[in-house]
Amino acid sequence: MNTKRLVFLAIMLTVSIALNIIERLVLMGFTGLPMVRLGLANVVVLILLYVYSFRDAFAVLLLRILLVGLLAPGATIFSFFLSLAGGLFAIAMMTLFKRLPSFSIIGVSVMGAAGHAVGQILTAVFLFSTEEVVFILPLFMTLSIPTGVFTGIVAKRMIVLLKQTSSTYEY
Amino acid sequence: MKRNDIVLIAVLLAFSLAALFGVRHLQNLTASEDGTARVFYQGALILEIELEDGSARAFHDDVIIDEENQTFIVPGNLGDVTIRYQNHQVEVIDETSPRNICQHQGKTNSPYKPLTCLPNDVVIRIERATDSDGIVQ
Repeated sequence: MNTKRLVFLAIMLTVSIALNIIERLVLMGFTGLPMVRLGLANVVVLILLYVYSFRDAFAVLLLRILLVGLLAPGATIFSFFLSLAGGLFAIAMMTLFKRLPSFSIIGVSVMGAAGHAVGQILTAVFLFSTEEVVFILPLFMTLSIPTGVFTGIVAKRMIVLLKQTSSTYEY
Repeated sequence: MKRNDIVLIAVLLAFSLAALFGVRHLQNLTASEDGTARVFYQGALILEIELEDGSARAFHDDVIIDEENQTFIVPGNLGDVTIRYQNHQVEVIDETSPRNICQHQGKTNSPYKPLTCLPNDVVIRIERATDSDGIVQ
């Protein structure tokens, strides 16, 4: 791994941690809906999937979840496992749909957001053996669609900007 | 955005909205004014609240029943969880957790709308009066 790539990944990791924690702290205070997040940290995973590789995106995702679990105020072992499951489901869905030629980054992002919701709810069901949690899934799925579109648009724009700013990244 | 993205989004949206309204409809259909709210902590039944009149029975030493204000304080993994009875419904009005999900779930009197405080391992399930056919959970 060359230095440029390493530094870029480190910056991406830092950005995703900052975005995740800021989102937890600020956005929730305004919306009053604690589970509804834009998923801005997912923008980073999307960018890495498109710009670099699945391996890099996966590494940054895992490190982000681990570090946010350690750093974020109010984070518990429960929120760690929920984030981990959400993140893994999201990256699995995004990787799968990215391979299908018929979808753009926005479709991929929406599937990632939907996968995140499904992953979190399924894990909650198994982790706490309370199958009633499934009844929250339709609400989460509905809300994940606009947030998925939004993060998709942001990631698309970011990739264009990255390409304009520097031609030295290894695309 | 490709055409297939729009199709994907439309299908997902239709599916989730249908499920959302389906669940809401089911919750309204099964709302019960004379059922029982059963509060579980770490899987064990610790409190029963009658939805008809708010009367309650505790099965745990740490449960505090405030009959005057019709509030009930039960233990949770991260601290006390306060439950309120009002108009044949129960809701969680105070608890300690990172996201306060169960406080935002609102009031319930439907078996299909349980209140789940996951970090506290407290679950409130509703049982309809007509369901009591002798089966012990």
